[in-house]
Amino acid sequence: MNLHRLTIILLLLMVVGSLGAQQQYHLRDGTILNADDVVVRGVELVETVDSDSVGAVVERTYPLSEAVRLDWPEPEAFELAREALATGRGAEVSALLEPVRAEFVLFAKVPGSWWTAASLLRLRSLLESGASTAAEAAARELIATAIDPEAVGLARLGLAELEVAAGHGDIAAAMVNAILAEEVPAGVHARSWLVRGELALQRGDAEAALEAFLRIPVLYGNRRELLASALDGSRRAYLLARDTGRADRAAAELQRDFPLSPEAARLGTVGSISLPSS
Amino acid sequence: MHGIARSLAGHAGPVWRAVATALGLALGVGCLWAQVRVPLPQVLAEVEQAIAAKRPADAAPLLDLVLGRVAAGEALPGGLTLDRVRLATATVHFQGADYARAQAVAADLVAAGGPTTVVSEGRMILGLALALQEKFVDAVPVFGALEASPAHRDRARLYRALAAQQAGQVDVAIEAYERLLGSAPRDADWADSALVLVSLHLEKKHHEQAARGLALLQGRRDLVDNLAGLNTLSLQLGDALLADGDAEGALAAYRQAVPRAELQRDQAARTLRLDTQIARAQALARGPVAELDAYRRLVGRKERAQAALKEIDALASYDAALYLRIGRAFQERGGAWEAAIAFGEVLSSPADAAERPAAHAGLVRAYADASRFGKTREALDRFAAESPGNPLVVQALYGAALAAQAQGAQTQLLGLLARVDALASGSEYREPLLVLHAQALLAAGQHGEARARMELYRKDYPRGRFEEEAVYLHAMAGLLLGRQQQAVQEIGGYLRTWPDGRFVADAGYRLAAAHYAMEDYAIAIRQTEAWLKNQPPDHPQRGEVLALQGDAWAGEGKLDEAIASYRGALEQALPDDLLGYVLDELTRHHQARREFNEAAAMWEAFARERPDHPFVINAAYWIGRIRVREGRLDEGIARVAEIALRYLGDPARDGVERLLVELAGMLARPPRQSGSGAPAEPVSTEAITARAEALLLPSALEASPTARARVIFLQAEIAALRNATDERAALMDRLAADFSRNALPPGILGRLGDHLLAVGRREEAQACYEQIVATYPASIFADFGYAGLGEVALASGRAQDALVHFGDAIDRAGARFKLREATLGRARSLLALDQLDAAQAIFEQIAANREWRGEATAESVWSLGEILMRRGGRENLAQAQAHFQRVYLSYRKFTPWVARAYLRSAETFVNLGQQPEAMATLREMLRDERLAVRAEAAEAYRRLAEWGATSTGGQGE
Repeated sequence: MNLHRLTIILLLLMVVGSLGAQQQYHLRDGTILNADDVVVRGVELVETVDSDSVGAVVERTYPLSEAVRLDWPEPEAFELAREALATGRGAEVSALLEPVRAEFVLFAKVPGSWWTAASLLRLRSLLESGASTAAEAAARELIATAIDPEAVGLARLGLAELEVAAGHGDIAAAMVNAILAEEVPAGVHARSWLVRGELALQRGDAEAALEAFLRIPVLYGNRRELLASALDGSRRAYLLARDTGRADRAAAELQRDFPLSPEAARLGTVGSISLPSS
Repeated sequence: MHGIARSLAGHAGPVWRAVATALGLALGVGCLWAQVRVPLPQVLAEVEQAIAAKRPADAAPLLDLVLGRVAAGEALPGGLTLDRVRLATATVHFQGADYARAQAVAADLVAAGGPTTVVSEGRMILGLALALQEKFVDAVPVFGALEASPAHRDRARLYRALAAQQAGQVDVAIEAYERLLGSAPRDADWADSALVLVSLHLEKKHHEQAARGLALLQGRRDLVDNLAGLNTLSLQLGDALLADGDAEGALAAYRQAVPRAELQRDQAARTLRLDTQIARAQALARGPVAELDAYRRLVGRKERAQAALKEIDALASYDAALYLRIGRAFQERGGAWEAAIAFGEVLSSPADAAERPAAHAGLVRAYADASRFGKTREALDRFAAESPGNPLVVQALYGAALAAQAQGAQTQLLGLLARVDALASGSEYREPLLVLHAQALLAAGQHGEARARMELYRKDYPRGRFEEEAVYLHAMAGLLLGRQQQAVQEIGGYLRTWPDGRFVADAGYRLAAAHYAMEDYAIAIRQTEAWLKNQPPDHPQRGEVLALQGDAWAGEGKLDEAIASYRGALEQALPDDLLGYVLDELTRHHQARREFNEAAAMWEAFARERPDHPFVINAAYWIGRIRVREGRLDEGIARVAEIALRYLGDPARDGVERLLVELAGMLARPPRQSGSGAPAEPVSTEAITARAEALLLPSALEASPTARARVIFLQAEIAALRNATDERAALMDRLAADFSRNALPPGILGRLGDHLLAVGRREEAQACYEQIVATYPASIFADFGYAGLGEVALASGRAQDALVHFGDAIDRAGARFKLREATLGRARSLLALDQLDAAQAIFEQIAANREWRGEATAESVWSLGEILMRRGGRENLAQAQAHFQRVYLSYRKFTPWVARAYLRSAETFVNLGQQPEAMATLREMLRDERLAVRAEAAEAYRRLAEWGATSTGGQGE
């Protein structure tokens, strides 16, 4: 910290003012509308301007298509949904996020809308609960609707995950390869390693599985939401490689760092390893 | 301050505005002040105008004038107090950057006291004025006092922290930041302060607090503008923790740093967000935007963010450095697989990156630590190719060799050390590597090579650091080569050169062993006696020496003394292999002297004194055998059952199955003749199995599924011994149907798997084998699992998997029970993979193994013919023919192979253009009635029909 900084801070002292978290629509012409001042009616945003001389309400309307960005804080439901997903209560996620999806569905393609994030979280919960039909529908909806490349990539990966779960490893591998053949965001790359790990496990290739799963803690260690799955995947791969010492260590790490995760909960019921299927 | 100015204007407002307006022109003329004593209200009105016009430099001398006249006794206009005038004066001096004057006026204000709000404002100005004059030590207590003001608390804490930091009072700064962060709202300023606090904690080596702070910031990453700063601190903390040996903590810190692309993307997004916020601030502005606090703050943040981005761009090998750190942390933590990935990532950096050599070295070590020795060698060779002459290459080789040695991976160790001559020339590591190489060669039984290595060492390093080791290893290699006489001389030479050397005790033992090997038993006995006299009673080799002495006495034919020495050895701590040897020798000698009771008593004492030792199972085995030999069958059965009962419910006690097999043999023995010489009444299988159940299933164990399964297994073994094949199969089916795989011990799982595989229940068999390798990989029955999985894989057409499984059965599990099956399985897998040379080598071994003579031989001879046939060519076909003929002539007992051999023989004749011989062969085949039911017979008919010869020898030719 130096005098320059002190001077800046001093200047800050001279005027009081701060901007709180607001909910705003940004329109194409630069107009910013506070959400509190408008309602969504049909395909329009309606702002009540004033009352005229005879007391009738005067309204100003804006087509929804004029909204180019939403500036909205993250809805509280997200934190609850994330916690539910991380602690094996995936069934609660849809109920928590449906109101958010409904609120933002008309703005699904507008930057800043929370529809995509809510839909992605819901897709993840459906995938993890094994609701394959609903998960496929959710993934396809995202692919058709979302504009964020990461969300679209993750939804496509979701479809590949469904193929893995169905035992169609070759199809899943082809899908993953097709996804990664394009330039995809780091988040898609990160999750793709989980899928690739599962595929390698299905093939009985322990080394490839370990190389895939362990990329998560090494290269994507800050993506906490992937770590429990990666640890569990590496545990199963170590077992496949008959390295029980490292498998036990991965299990202990899973229980220590993610005690409430579904992966840790499943540890107690694991009795044998998955070896190459005949 | 703005508030202060406003309050001043407010007080002066209605009264003084009118005065100021009236005197407006005059006030503009400075020179008039010197000559005319203008009334204070008029001066104050001018002050107000200057402040309103944001001209603090104009207001400052006027207010000084006011203060001077008040000090001289003039009264202030009504409603205006001295403290407020002082506050305004200090403010405008501050605004005009006259910090010394601002300090002086504010100090007067604070000293004089007054309303709390005014004094607090005065303290703020005083503190800031001091700080801006770099009088940080003085500023700290001023801001400290200001913390008492609720309105200024957070700012006061921030400034106190900043000032203390500048004054070098780190502890004070930390305390102030901690208080600030505890109360301030979570915003970008909060995040900035948190970053500073983390850096201070790092400076003070408060790693735990720094880690907590970083974790907190990571959770609110959205508030952090200076992401590069956050990354740098994460790396610094990780480095500090790693240096402290806290690899786990270091990893947690490193994981908070993100790679460059991600950082750039996040920083760009942050800048975009700031642009939006700036635009919004502009839209909301009512006055000149540049003066709005929100605007200034946002612009400042954007500047810092852009500076951060520039900082990141300047770091060329940022990612490589990050992954190198992560790799090292994983390596320290024992995460060899993870470390390999991290180091591999570093190696994707440009060829001139400074981190590459260290990453290469780390990768070699990581692969070795993960027992991935093939990759270790590849990584080492790549490193050597990329950086020839780099000293790290040899260091990496040395580290990998040590790792291989620690894991007991002898073959892999030798593979690595084969590179010593190529890579280590001129390196300081060559010297220890040569010794390591000799040790590895010695352990691998390559005694001549080991000796040659040590000769090379002694030539190149005549006074080397490891001279003593070299001389001793050289002598040991000679001894192991069977050159006892030479070894005796060399060991003697060693003892003369190093009478107090590290290997003196071992040398004494080896000398005795050399004499024993030369059958100089008397000398061996004398030397062991000398050793026992000279070495301390707790020397770890004492048991070994006593056992050797026992051998020497036995060699002399003095069994009493031999038994005494062996008994002495038993009193020492012995490794299991030696313990087993000594117990077996004692048993052998006692039996040779018909001292059955002594032998049985020894084992009974062992079982009693060491109830948990794995050899208790051996004890039961021998007790049973000896008692049976003594004719005390019932007593033997009772003792074996009693010991088996101890472990019957524990599936991990895999030796129990060996006992059960022994017990089955004892129970199934036909009863002895009665005393009258009349044949004894045969005992029914039901009676025997009932007895087995009564012996092994006391009520306490009835609830144990493992114990119940073992009793059924025992009954199945009895059925097998009595040739009751169907009954055995039914009992094995019961094991499959009634028991969870988890309850079954590996010995039963293995046999059950084999039974299920034999009857075509492949998936169930696979589950049994998987259970063995997953749960009991160290069991003596582990080879059942690996070999079984190999059979399943081979039957499923997965020859490559099968090859791995069969290899594991031999290399990992030691193939105690399944060596023949695993060897045959490897050969079959190789044949299926069309690796003809490798398959041929193994089939030849099997065919030559006298102990395996039987169906395995028949199959091997047939397969060798098959290999020759596949190779084609007249000579090969002729040799193949010889093999097929050998099968159907010499191994007629094994009808499946005989049938196949006839068919192949006929095919070979056809390929050689000898169709009549082919047809004759098939006719001969069809004359063998045993083959009539086989599918090959139908094939033979089909071919004969195809060749136009439907009549066969067996059918009226």
